[in-house]
Amino acid sequence: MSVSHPARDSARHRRGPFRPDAFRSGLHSEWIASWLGIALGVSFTVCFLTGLLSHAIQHPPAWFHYPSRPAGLYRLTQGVHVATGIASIPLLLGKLWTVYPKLWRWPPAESVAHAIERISLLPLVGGSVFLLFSGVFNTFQWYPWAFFFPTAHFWAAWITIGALIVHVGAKASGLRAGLSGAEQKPADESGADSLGRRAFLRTILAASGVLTLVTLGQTFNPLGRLALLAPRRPAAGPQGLPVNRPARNARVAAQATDPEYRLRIEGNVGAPLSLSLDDLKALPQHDAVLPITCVEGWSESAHWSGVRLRDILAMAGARIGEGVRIESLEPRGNYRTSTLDLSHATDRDTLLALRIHDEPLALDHGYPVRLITPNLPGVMQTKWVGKVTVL
Amino acid sequence: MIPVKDARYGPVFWVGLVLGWPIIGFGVWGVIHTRAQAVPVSFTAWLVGAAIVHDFLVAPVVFSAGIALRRSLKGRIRTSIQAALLVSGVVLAYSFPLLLGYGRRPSNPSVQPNDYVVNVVVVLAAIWIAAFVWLLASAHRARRASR
Repeated sequence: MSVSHPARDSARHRRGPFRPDAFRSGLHSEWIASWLGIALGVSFTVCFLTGLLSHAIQHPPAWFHYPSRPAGLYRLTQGVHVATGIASIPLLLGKLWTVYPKLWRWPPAESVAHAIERISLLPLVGGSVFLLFSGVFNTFQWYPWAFFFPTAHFWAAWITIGALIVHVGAKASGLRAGLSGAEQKPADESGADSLGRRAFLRTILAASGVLTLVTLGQTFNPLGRLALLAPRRPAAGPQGLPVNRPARNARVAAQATDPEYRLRIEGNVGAPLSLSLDDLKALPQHDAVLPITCVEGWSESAHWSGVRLRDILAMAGARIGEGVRIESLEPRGNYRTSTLDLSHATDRDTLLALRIHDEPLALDHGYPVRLITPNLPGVMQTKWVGKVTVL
Repeated sequence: MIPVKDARYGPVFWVGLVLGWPIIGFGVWGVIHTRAQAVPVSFTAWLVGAAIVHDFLVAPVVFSAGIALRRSLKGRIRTSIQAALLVSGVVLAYSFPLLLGYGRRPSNPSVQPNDYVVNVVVVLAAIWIAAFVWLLASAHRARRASR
């Protein structure tokens, strides 16, 4: 890196944003940057941990066992993940605005350590903005890019959290001074005519509050009527429940409505079963009130009824080893199968549901049979179930 | 050459570096390792592009708007308008795909079920009314204080 010698680089020759007095607002302050930095450190850590949990539930490593109870835990953690991400948007934009003059500082690097710190800001800033917009666009189901969202979002989270650790290390020593407001106050020509520092912070928090208020209702029912800008409304959808993958997109309509439909139970069983829809209706039916919780952050409770999975497993003489794989009729798709561990497969409320709110399932909700189980993301609640394999 | 020594960077910085960069490396490895899904070219373009678009497009526009506002208005009105613009800008930055219907598909009407143009107008109206009330209240407080 070639850097001009400060002595030869007179400040008055610098132009545009490089001018020493280019950014005169008193809001470009260490005090604001420190407080927003702490808020973002907390919110990104919460998003990272809840995101890792959601990833581990869907792709469990051998050591990871996720219980089926409490039934609404995933609804809480994923709701927090998405809501915290949305609330972070103004925090991040405010933080970037506050420290923006540093982008143009001259010389660009004053020491090797300073250069390393600044280079580490690219994965931090790029990664943070990437995580927020990709996450939000995913909830809108808008994919203007070539990558598969969950994979890219997951790896971007590691890049960002690594860069955040570097950033915290670089800023830790200056944080206390920043929070105390001990810095020299930069000249602010406007004085009382502009937002003060506290008012600026309060406005950023107000923006977070507004975004939260108009979106949180997609998972938190009491705020449902305020969810003006949520991409989902809990009651909007067939039978009062939103849909993520409609039957038409999954190309299952013909198979799912075929009168010859059979549910097959295979694998590590004493006697494989092949059950028609009438066979299933003739078995003891059970009711459960369970939420569908989408990874995208919406959730809604519903009243399901159907056959307990554990009853069917017992009928077939299942010997569960690794788990139970539930397979959809859909010919392809990233989520056509779901593997349940022992805890979920044998939970009293884990149903092969035939009905919702006392009506047969709509085709978009997985007619004739769908899986509904406590404490799992919606993508694992397989619809149009055709086969159960005991592993 | 730039100096190696810099008293502002203590051991905590180097510890953060030793902990953080391997995690960044893990993320980069993951993108390459799962390239069929993560599509490194697209991934990099959007991640680096995010920083570039913010720093060289969004920020200059915001700063220009700030300067224009500063030149055209004075006093308490300016403060309330700054605050209202900030919150409105955030709401629009979040909701522009909803306004444009990006991601909306006839096959699934439960995605983006609201009339977002109307709803954004309602939210913005609430923000500006709140800013106006705040302006009146602070003017009232200032008058009482000066008496």
